[in-house]
Amino acid sequence: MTISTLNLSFQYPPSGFRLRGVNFTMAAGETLALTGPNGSGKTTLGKLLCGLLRPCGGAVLLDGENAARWSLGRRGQRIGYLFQEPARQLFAPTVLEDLTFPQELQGIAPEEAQTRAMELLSRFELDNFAQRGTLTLSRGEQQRLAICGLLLNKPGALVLDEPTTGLDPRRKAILSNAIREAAKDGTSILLITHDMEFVQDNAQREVKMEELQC
Amino acid sequence: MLNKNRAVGAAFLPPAHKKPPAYHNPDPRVAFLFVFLLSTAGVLLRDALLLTPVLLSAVAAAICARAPVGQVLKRLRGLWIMLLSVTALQTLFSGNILHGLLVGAAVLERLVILMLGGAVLAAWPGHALVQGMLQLRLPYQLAFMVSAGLRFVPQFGECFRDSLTAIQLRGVDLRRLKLKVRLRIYTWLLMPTVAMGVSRAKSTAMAMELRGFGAHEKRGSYAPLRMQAKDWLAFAGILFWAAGLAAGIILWRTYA
Repeated sequence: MTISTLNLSFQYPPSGFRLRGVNFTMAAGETLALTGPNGSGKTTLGKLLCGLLRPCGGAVLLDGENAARWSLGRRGQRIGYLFQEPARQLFAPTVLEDLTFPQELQGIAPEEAQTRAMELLSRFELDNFAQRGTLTLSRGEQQRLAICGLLLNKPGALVLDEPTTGLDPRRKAILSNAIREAAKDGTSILLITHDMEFVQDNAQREVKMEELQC
Repeated sequence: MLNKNRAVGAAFLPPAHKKPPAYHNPDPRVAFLFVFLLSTAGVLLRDALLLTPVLLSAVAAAICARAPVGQVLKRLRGLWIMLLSVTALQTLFSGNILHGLLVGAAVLERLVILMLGGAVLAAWPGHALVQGMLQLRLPYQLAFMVSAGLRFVPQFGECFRDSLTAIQLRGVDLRRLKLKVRLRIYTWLLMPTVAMGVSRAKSTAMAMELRGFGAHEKRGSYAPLRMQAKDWLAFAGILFWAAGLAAGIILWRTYA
């Protein structure tokens, strides 16, 4: 999926942080890293792309289509967003249910949903936690589960906000592999991070926040 | 000058002159009494018709206290979906439709009464509420906890709203789901929302301890509250209102 923005602008009310005239394009299957100092608007831009925030001006184009009127659910089917706080996006009581429930809602048979979920859980070394409560997981485990939830949905694009926070080097490597594979399948990936080593390993292009605004 | 456009809470801002201020008008203890009686009535009464005058009193009090009702309701907008779902469930599961609607209305009225009670207290600044509770001989820790808790309620709503947003961003289009499935999701959401709230409270408490909260045995106050004549008048008025309400309820139950 291609993502582009046209003169995107946003301001937190009443006269807070402001993004002005952001223009950028991400090709399908491209992995782009968005970097910049704290408070430069990286997360705000990520949220604008996913529809979590409504722009004050300009537009977000998904595959060339203006997504302004799309519902959050519709956007969520096309773009996956990883929150900085992963506990926010886990909602089912157990790890397995958190992955199978959204699939079942999309009409996938429970057995198949479970198989797919277990495959992904085992890849992210979470298969032993399948029956555990989502809230009893550690920060890093929650992060991995949240990433599993996004990958399972097979979205056209992924916006990952600080994806390596709480991950040890081994799990970071697992995440790197998953990102590369998703990119090979045509998923565009926007990495919002301060982890420059992860950026060098995974991103094809790095864009600094200050370069984006006119 | 600073206080010019402020609501009730303005009275508790220390003015910039030398003399320590004698805080007054209106005293938060009057509000405590009213909110205590209001919430007791809201919890004890189960009949939608009897709850109506209590609700109207709560609305009147919120207007009189210039309580930030709109702000509170706006902040709790994430909770409204849940509250309406609970009301709908109460209506569905209570036998005949009219009775069900009355039960649902009673639940909704009760919740609104409790929220308005919170909104009335939110019209006073936190330190005035703490001071009021201290002068009612409540332990400082408890007083501070209640004051912090009041500020915590809107965060609870925000947490719920965030979780709903996150679900949708995982490709679940809530608007297209059947009511049954939606209700299942809302019930699931209660758990993480409450757990996150409790966890946040726990970390706040730990952070406060680490920053020396309660390290000293006694805490003084620059701003002791003093009940003025009009506070006592309001106090008496509230007791009169409560007695009238209780008498009305007894009469209603006896003759209706």
